[in-house]
Amino acid sequence: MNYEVSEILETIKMNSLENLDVRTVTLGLSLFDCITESSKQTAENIRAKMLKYGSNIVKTADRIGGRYGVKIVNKRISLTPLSLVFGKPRSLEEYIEAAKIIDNTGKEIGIDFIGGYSALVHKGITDSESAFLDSISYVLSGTDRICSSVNVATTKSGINMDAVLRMGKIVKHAAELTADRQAIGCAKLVVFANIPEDNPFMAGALHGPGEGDCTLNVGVSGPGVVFRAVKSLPEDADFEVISETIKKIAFKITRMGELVGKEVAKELGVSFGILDLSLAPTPAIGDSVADILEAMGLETCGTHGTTAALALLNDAVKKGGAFASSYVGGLSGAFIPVSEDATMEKRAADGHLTFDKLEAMTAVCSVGLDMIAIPGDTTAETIAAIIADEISIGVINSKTTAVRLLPVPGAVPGDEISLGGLLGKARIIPVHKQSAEIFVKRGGRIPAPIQSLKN
Amino acid sequence: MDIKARIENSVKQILNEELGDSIHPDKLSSISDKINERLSTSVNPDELVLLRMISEEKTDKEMAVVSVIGQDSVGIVAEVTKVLAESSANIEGMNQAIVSGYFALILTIDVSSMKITIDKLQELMNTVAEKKNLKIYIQHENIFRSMNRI
Repeated sequence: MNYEVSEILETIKMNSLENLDVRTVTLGLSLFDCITESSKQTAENIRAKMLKYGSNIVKTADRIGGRYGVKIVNKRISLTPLSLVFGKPRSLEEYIEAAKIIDNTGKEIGIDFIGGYSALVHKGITDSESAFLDSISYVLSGTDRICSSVNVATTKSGINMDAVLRMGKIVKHAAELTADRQAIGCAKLVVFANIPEDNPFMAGALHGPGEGDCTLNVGVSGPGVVFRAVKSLPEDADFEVISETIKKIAFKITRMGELVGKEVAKELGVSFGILDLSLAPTPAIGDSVADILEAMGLETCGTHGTTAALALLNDAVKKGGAFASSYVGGLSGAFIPVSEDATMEKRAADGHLTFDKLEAMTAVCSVGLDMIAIPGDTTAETIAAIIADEISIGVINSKTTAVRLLPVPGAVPGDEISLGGLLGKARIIPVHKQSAEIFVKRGGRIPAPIQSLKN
Repeated sequence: MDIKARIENSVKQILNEELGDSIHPDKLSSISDKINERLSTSVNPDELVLLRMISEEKTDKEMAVVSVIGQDSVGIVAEVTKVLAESSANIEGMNQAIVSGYFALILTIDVSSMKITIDKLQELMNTVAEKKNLKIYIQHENIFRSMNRI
């Protein structure tokens, strides 16, 4: 036999006991060939393309998953940013009509999310993008699967503060429109700096304008596997040992994801894009990034030392993964979505993990302030200020950062909301009450940082 | 054992016997690799054809790993191998171990001439697993190669 019994048993243990899975295979579709004068006809063309390439994605992914004994949890589709595809300004009704056609097609195919109701407004907002932005909250409220992302800054162009303020208002409005559903609209809306063009994870997935016609990107998972490996180390194991252990596990996880992704791409007859080597937690017990940090020796995730532990984790994951695959992309790093990580949610609910600590943690990992439920009376201006803070971390550090907040209408700190499924549950955590209104309303663009002058 | 492997093994064995501990193992294996490389380029045409046939025959195989884990009981091997035989899956290797008090049987099977898909075989094995109170996993060999070999 070519393999040791221990190697075989380790793989089985990872898949069946430690929640190791392929989190998502995401089919990216370029929509430039779907554009017509009429938004409805454009949506019909998008539907035809989704059916042409995506009809078999669920069946194929399940079959390949079965062959390797690996679960592929989600099958998704990402689209060219629709603000580019719809071109000229449309009426609200036209945007909603088109979005519903796309949403229903996703339902027909059997995928859980469609990414790409997106706009890239990091340097300026055109008239058509302005009309498109106004439609986002209505589309998120009126559809089930469509996710939206808006890029408001890049390291090269600086921060478009007009867009940041607009997004503060849109987040608030999306929460109000879905007030009867725990502000679920906001769980499908991400504000980005330096948005990647090939990210397979929702809600921020889109198929960038520089991508090919049809590409399959893969997102792996595996916090549970890393947790058990770190947990099994003695308390006096030094940082080199911890780093080496995580690197080895990341290597294996990445190889598995790449193998499965390439096979799915081959069977679907599309090209393989990238592997996103992110540690993506789920609300399942034992599948938590916070557990890994605590296994390193922190009493609670959120206490002093948390940022350093996360930085070590994030770096080791990337080093192990980068060796395992040549095409690493997307977000690639550890995710810290509060509601989706059982231990992180608990620490935030207990007050050990504060909003400000979460912001600090995002400086050393991907992606940002993610799935955090905040009080319903938080103003649009305060949300814009939170976005500005987070986005500036990304711009200055030449990395992706993002914000996905749920200002749940009527909710106060301590209240609990339940979003169900992978989105999990969350306790409302407080944010600063002092105003930043004058700051965020100044208008214009925060200039690109000196780091952008690399040429 | 095929010709190539036989030659390689003999070379390794002789080098080991003659040089043994007097030389660093890495150096030893490097010498043995070089001799084998030289040999493989100097075999006669007939042997070359034969070697090619053997290597092609090898690549035609498609291997999967069947892992049977659980409490030991009478007849596990019989039940599992019966399903494999009925599905025309050839057993190429078998390994049994007791891990943390559990029975673990690992079978390497060639699925290239199998009459059914791996998915279907997994379904049949699930029936056995339920009957004998076991867990049976069937996974294509590639997953172990990709995760454990550089």
